[in-house]
Amino acid sequence: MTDINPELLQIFREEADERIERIADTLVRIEGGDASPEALGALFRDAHSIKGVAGLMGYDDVYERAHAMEDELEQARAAGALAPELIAPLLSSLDAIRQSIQGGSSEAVQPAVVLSPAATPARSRSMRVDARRVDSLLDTVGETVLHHRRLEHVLRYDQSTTGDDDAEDLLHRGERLLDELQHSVIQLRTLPLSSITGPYPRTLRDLAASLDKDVELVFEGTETQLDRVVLEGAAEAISHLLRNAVAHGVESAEERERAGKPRRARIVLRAQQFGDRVAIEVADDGRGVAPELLERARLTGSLADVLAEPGSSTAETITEVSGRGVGLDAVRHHLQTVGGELEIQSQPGAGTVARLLVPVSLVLLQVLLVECEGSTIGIPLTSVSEIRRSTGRVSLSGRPGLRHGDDVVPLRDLLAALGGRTRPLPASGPALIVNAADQPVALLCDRIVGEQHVIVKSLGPILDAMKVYLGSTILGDGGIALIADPSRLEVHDGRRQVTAAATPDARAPTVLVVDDQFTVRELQRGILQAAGYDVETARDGREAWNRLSDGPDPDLVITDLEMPEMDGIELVEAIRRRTEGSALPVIILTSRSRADDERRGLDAGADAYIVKERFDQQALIDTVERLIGR
Amino acid sequence: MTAEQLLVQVQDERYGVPVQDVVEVLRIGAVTAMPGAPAVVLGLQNLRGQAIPVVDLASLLGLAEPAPRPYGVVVDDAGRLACFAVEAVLGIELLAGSEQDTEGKGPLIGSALSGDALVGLLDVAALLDATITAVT
Repeated sequence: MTDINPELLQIFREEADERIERIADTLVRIEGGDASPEALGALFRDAHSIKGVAGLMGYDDVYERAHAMEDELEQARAAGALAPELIAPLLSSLDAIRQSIQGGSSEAVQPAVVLSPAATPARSRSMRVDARRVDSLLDTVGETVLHHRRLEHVLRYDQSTTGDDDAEDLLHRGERLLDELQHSVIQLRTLPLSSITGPYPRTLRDLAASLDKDVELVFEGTETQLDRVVLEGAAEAISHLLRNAVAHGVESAEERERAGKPRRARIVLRAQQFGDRVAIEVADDGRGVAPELLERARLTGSLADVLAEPGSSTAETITEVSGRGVGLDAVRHHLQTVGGELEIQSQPGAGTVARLLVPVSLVLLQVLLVECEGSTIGIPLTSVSEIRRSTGRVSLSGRPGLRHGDDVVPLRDLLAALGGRTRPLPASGPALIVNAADQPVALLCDRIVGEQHVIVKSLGPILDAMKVYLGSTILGDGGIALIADPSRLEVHDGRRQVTAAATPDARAPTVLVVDDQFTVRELQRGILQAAGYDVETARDGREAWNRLSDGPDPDLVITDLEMPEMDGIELVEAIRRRTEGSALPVIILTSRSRADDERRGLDAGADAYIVKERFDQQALIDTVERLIGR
Repeated sequence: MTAEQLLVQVQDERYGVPVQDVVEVLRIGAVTAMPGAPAVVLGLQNLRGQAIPVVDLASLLGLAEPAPRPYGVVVDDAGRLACFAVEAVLGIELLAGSEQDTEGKGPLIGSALSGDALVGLLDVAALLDATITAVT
């Protein structure tokens, strides 16, 4: 217990304090007949937690008292009531616990390192802050960085400030300040590795004893600082690797003696910083992994890969242990979520070294994860103002829009906004109102996955030019999510924006759909409207012809072949015979696929012939776009 | 110029990738499509916690015809990591190639005979440069 790290001690004290206060408060409320039915369960859990940690930290007196309290409370919980005469003794027991923990009654718990003679005790110099507040501060800083990038983008491309040295200086200065700010906030979240190693000596000693092994655990470099989140992610992996080393890595004392090694095995937990990464090693001087596994590793390139396969294990332990491979695989997945890697090296007879490589700090971003045609896309949550259904669609100067409060915002497929292929806008599905570079936009996606804190890694030198992404992140299941930069989303379809700029009140192109089946007409109406067209319909060639004779021409006609009154061929021929507007593009959309029908339709003057069997929304939209020349 | 080459097959053609640039060969797993990326970039693949671009070697070489390309050749050119998707990996051979096209600086820098088959020799740095150009 003399080895206990002062910071860990501080955390223990603070946590215990909180629990003690809670217990006292609840006891008093029970006495006053003002406690909820769950109160007894909560009391028991608090006492149990104090007992557990006190045991690990070596506070034996606290352990004993908390243990006694736990027993009383367990009975009370089972009985459903706490006898009133027990409350006073419980409270005085609680006071004793508080004194032991805070009073420093045991000299051994004083920090082993005295900072300087004049320094006040370490605990008065620290301030306890809820981790969530630090995270929220970091989120804000992250968002400020994004904001700065946007500002930079605007200033660099603004004619009036281009080449302005003052603007450049200000931008550089802003960038430097933000770097410092981000660095400071990240520092707030760092803790030494030793803050999690406290329980290891004891648990490993117990494990070794149960396996009849003699093991010495040595710590090296555990003062190395790591981001709290990385530390939490790595803690489980480290504990797994240490237990592995004791259980499977090192031999029994007898076996070691026979092999000419010291009876006592040595396991070293070592941490060292290399640049922006920290290597945490668990090294044992045991028997090493089986030569055949090493040989396989030599062929595939990674011993960690081989050992992570279910069923493989260190030499001679296969019968003893099942599922070690699965465990190691889980360790690796877990590490990946904090951007870490696992490497394993081994020498038969001499030992095994498992090395976790983790980043010193993380730039965490809270994102909303959504799915779009099988890709998972993350959007920084601070840019998302609303998630809603995409009902209430309207036309916004000829382009699809969505009502948002009193405004109408452009409606786009997220896929298209990222620069991906254009598909017809899905008829339904969730829409995100996202604050893009200069205006809010409604983005359609297939499915909302949820919110998550993710570590954003750059896309690397090859994909660096894909500025629409801030980077990527590895998800808990090993999948990859791309993180979008809201300020780089394409809010407008570039081509259409030009038209709109040239003629500010440009109307949407109109398509006349001619089909005798209601469902077909409505299907096409939906597809075309979603793609930004105004749609008129006619039930047959005659109705269509009357419409063409009465009003201004639409921009395009889509017609069926087989219809009562006047069929598609007759309609096309009639259109082509007109003196005016004979260039009106016509698409024949039919279920007939006979070659001579197609020829007949095209001979009559149709511009395109689409067979419904091959019907694909995208093909229709593409054909319409091509013929209208947008 | 004699060098160890990893022979791969794309679209009935054989190509050699210098072994010194190859990190590993793998079976391509789940590839995350990347909206907005050019056709040569098939997406991203998780290689032990690192998202690396999967590049369609065939379309990079102008041979694009859709076909399954189940194998990946992971290359590293001075820290630029990428995975080339290919139809098959045939093995490693020591090939003596004739240099051609040295002025073009294209990805195809020469050819060699492997048995009766003509093998195009590839330059990894130029392939990656071509990918970057396609992305930009």
